[in-house]
Amino acid sequence: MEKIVEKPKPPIEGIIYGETAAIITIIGICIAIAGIVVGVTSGNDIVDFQKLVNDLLSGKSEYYIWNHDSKLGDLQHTKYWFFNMLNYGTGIAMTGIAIAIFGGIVGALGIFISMFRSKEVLLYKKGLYTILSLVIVLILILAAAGVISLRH
Amino acid sequence: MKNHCYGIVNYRVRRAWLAIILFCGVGLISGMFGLGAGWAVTPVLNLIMSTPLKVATASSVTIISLGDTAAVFPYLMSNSLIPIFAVPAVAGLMTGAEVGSRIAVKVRPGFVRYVLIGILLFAGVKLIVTGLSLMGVI
Repeated sequence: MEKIVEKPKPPIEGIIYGETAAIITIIGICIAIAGIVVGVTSGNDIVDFQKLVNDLLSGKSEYYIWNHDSKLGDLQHTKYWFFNMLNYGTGIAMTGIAIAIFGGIVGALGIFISMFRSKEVLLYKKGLYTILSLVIVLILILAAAGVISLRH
Repeated sequence: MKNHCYGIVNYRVRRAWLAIILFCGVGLISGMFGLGAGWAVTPVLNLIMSTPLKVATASSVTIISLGDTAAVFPYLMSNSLIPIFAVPAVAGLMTGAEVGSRIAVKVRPGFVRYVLIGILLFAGVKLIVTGLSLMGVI
């Protein structure tokens, strides 16, 4: 029988980021699943799911699919169009995905705030990690606002 | 009755500035060639910053997820995401990550090392094939 020594404890920043991001992501994905169910079952969605699946399987691009299989028109070129389309399943699903992604930003913000719990943590390595966490939060906020584009 | 043994490893993160420069290189390769270089994070954490392997693998997931969070917004805003395909993928990924993180705590570091070497070999071969096909060689 092996002896229990002590379970290693992850750093508080890791717990805050992980738990916050995970909970918000799970909520977002649940909303997105509900949106897909509503969209598929309602029969009155902005996306024709049958055409969408056929076009995807035949190798059409996402731009073609949104242009030909949805009723969005020019609205699709606006950022976060789905927040104004919550009466449709696809709008709810896209909003759920957006909420899931925003979970990462809230979690990163949690890391930065948790740095202020003590002067020792805040100024560790001359504040290098505090500055880095602030930079990460700023990059995420600017990316969410569409100011910077970090495709990879 | 079987109990699990959790060994405590005292470590100190070293060479943070060198790691930042190397991470910039990882991001540069990822951004320039679109190949995805998340696999390179764990070796930098483990070999350069002297982070224990299990801590490095767990930390790399956090680093990759932060980078991916920033990278997903252009796709979200340009309608490159199709919910009916994206949602099951995320749900599956989260379930796998939850199971994997629980297993990782219990297995020996040597096992993690061999699995990591296998994944890095696979990723390396895949990147070479992708690069050669982009160059039109194969």
